[in-house]
Amino acid sequence: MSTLGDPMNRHQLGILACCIILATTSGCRRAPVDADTGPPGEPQREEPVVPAGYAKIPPAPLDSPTQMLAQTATIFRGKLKEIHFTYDLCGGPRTQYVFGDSSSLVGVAVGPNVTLKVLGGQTPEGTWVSVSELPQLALDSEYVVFLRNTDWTYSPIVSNLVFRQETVDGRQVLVDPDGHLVTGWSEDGPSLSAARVSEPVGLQRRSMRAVRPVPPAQSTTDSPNPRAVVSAAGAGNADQPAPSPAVTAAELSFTSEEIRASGMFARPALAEAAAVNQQSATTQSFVSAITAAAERANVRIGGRLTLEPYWKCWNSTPTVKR
Amino acid sequence: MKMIRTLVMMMMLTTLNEPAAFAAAWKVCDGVTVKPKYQPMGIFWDLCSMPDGSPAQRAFLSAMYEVRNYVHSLGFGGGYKRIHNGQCLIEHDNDRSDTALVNRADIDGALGLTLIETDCEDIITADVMAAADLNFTRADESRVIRRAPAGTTIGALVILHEVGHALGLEHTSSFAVMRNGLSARAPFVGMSPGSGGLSSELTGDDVFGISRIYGFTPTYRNVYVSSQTLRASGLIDNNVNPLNGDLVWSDPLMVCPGNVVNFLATVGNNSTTVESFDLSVYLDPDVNGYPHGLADALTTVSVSMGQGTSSFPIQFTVPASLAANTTYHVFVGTPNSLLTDRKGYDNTARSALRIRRKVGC
Repeated sequence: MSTLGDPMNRHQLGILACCIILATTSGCRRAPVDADTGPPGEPQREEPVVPAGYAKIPPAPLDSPTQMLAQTATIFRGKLKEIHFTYDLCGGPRTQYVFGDSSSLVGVAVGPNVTLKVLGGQTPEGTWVSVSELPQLALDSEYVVFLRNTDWTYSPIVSNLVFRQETVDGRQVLVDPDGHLVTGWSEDGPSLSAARVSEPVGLQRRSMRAVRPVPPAQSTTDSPNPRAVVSAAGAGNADQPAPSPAVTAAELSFTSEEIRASGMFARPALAEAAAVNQQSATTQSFVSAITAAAERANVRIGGRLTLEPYWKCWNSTPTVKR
Repeated sequence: MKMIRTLVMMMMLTTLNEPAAFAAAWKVCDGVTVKPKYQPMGIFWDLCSMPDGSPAQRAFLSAMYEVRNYVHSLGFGGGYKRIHNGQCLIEHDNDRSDTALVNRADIDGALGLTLIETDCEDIITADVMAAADLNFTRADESRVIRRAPAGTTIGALVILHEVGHALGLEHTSSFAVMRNGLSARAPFVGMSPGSGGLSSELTGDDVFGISRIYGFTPTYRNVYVSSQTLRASGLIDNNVNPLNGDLVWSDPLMVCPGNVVNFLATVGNNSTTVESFDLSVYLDPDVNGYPHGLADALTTVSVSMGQGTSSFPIQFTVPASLAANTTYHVFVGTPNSLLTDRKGYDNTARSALRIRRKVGC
């Protein structure tokens, strides 16, 4: 008869205990079907606050040039003058691209300053969020930008339709986010040069800790700690550790110099030798080709221009039940 | 095909040893390539949208296995369900990497999106999302997909592309899974039916990028065949005449025995080892007629190539045995098994070119 003192039995019990621990902690553990998996009484998830009476227009697939143009409110030209980072619970970390000297080329008229609030940027924890299919834009560059006439979550730009204006040998050219010259507009969307003439923006960067000067170390003896000392009840007058400071707006924000020094939004060099003999479109010829394509497809560029991310909050996405 | 037995023409294509033009891209922060911080970074999958046994879950697992052929930086997290008020969710602020299928409207109309959280040089989490209305079964490798309305069999390719972002890859303009989605999407590779493959694989350019991010020499030896070719900035199908400005052949191409047909062949090699192998053209009226041996070859060329993807003109003579009233698919594949090749099921591709015997000849 075996007993608990039997080493063999202890071994078996150990295995059993391990199995139980694994079974209860494994990521493969299944939740009960259709039961809420959050804490009891979990509050409703946030929704974007929209103006009264606002009717959301869902973003539609962007499979074809016709669908892209049908979801374009405006094509505007402007110079990217400033970049700011913001964070709020619903909007999440946003990179705000501020364009100046803006004017509409076709579609809805835009004001001289246009701000695009693209998802991506710093979180309160100090990490960075980026979105795979959204291009980064270069500071101090002229752009031709397609903006949506639907609501949106991630970016007001239609697909990847944002093109940097450059000059090659005195000739105006457009460069797509991946660094190709734009040669026209085809049945597949923008037609591009075979070779890249530029790197995408933001591949090489420096961290903020590398570009931000280190503040002088605080003395532990010279000056009194300006923070109030919080004492736990009944803990006498013993010193308690100061609470961790929350991440402040100042710590979240970066100066223009720091943003530039990071290289994240630096305009990549243009390989002029590669570009000089390439056929390419000018902004005018590109827009003319698009306007003609829209007419052929019986599509009107226009509609409601929404510059706020009203479709849904960033921090969760409903999945499709099958 | 028993009826088609013609002379094997041997050609030496030594020019394929030229270095391939890689365009794979990745981010660098403070001089360090950006990649997952804690490897393997476990990626969990949403059991609401990707239930056990579903094509979508298979496509995801297939993408993970494909990536892990080269680098073990991503791992299998496990299935999960996060339900709030009866709604399944993928959460982006939960310090975990998840994959899920979502409505296109919720990803701004895109086919897929990946939210990546980094501390500059380290990827901490990556949430992969793909449009739920896509088809996640094996794709028809013979044609590049230009439009992806609901039901298009591009789901597996989208998941592999987005998992590539989780790995640290950025977009490329080369022949690669990581091609940008605009203007002719990413290429398919050949995939024998019944092999379990989904026609989506990392190509030489993708593996080049991975090897640069992670700093290793790719030794996983795999040769693949595709029916697509990169032209200018877009992909084209191989049913073109390269001697006439890539003029697209009619479908099916009406031919007489003895006619010479020119089209394109595309082969790739994922490792840095120079691979030498034969490549043949054969015909089969069966859409699933893979693979055939050397005896059925209408043309055989010898290929020797390093890492990358190469396309070249290839021709065959229409055999006298071509049956009337039958449409034949043109296949390109390796007639001999390659002992060092890790995946034999991607060595034959059905091309977009189909031929049919002209009446009266």
